[in-house]
Amino acid sequence: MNTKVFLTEDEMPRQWYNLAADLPSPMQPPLGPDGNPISPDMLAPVFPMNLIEQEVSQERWIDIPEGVQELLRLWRPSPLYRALRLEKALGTPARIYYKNEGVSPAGSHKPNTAVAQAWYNKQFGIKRITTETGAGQWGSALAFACSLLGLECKVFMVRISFDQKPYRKLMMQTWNANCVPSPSPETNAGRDILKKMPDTPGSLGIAISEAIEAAVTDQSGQTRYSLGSVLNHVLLHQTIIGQEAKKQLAKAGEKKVDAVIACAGGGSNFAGIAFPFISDKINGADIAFYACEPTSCPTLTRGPFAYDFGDVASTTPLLPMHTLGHTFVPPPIHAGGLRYHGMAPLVSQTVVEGLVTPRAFDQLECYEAAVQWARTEGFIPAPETSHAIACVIDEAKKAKEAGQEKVILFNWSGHGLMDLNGYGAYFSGKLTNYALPDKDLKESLAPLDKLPKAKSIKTGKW
Amino acid sequence: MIDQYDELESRCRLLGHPVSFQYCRSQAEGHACRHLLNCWFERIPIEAYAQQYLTQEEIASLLSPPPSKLHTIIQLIEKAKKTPPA
Repeated sequence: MNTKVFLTEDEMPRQWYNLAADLPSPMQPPLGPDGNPISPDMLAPVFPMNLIEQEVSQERWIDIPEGVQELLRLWRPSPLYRALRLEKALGTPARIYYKNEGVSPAGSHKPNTAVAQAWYNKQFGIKRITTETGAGQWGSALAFACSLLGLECKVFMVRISFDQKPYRKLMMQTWNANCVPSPSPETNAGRDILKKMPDTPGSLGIAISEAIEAAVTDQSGQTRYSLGSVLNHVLLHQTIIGQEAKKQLAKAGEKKVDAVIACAGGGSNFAGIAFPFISDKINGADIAFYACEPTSCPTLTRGPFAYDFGDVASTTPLLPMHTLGHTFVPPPIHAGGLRYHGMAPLVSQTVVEGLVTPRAFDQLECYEAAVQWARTEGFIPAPETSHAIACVIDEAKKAKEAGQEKVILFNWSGHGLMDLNGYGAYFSGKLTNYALPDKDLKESLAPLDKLPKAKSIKTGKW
Repeated sequence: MIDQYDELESRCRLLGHPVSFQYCRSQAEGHACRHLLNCWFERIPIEAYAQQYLTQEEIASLLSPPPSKLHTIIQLIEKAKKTPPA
């Protein structure tokens, strides 16, 4: 029995899969600040037109240019592993497979879109790309991609992260990127904040403002901006993961997969492995999809404050309110359906449709799972990845209880070698799952029960 | 006290590392992060905290539907276009 299933470079998928073409409830075009649909030319100051075309595309398949394939071949096709040692430790009849996206040079799935975006920018004549980053996973991926293509890379890293994550910063520097703490004195947005609050720790919002300003105000017209998650073209580029997995599962002799699992932050990691399989579910396959998030901020699963009514509503002025919740009246529902905080609209719609089930796991459970994983399979996972592992272990245990030979696939989205402080906190007992007593929580949230419930647009098939 | 929970830490799903409650309630410009309620409701009585220490405008802002990413990007493009040259 093989531990790894490889594809040859010739077997690497030649097209990306676009779920937007198959969603049973089509996505509505996003609206701009003026209430009208966003047109491609409105995005042109920050994205090259070839990527904007992908952002709005409804084509099911989009060719991966040979130039992008050549870059991806540096680490792709990524291996599909069978987690034999974990299966044995759990005593489960389930067969657990995982795509190891930690084999990329930056150590995560992020380079799958970083190299594609950098390549398209270069084709468009762009010389310099700006972006923002928190902990640095995306910033380092883009820095790596730009270094391959000889593009300048400017990363605005949130200052609190810049101070806490020195190694990601050094990775970016090694790949020749210019990484500065945000707010910086290099942009008007940064200078304004620094003037008011010189010691500010920064925020992702300010870093985005700086990155976009740096792109828009470059008089040469040769600078653009890049984003590592949420947008359609980003999710599209990640679908190579799931397509490879399909081929590899077939090579391993699997005729079907029962569960596909990934963590869900901005959505690109989940979309990457799940979207090609969701296509099968739309066409009748019986597959469970689990998008995993932390209970520390469970916006997908149970966040009572996660009101999100789409783009029409977002243009609504601030709502009058006297006490939290009591008089809050949600605005009209956009035909695009319920969307969740910070999550890619395409992923949100799969949840609304019932194609995907969100699940939340607490931090102790995740670290426990991560450590069990590391002590059986060897690789130390990123904290985000550990949410998926916790779900995998839970599903494998259920399969054991039911005596079912389930096939479980998940996305091992990246290593945790830059996040060992979190492991340190776990080992020293500093992490707790403090939570309000149920009674207090219920009382606290009771007023919200009186609120009108958000409606969602779905076909009701799943 | 407004700082009674400041020492508590939680993993920030936006930044990808732990941050203190102090960061969540004040962030860069002294305003609360829009995820404040969602990220803390299970750990502290966040509704009572918000009512005591946030203005009604701030609370309304936290509960307002967030704009889509593309919407935000368009807004920032328009703002940047009006930026005077450095």
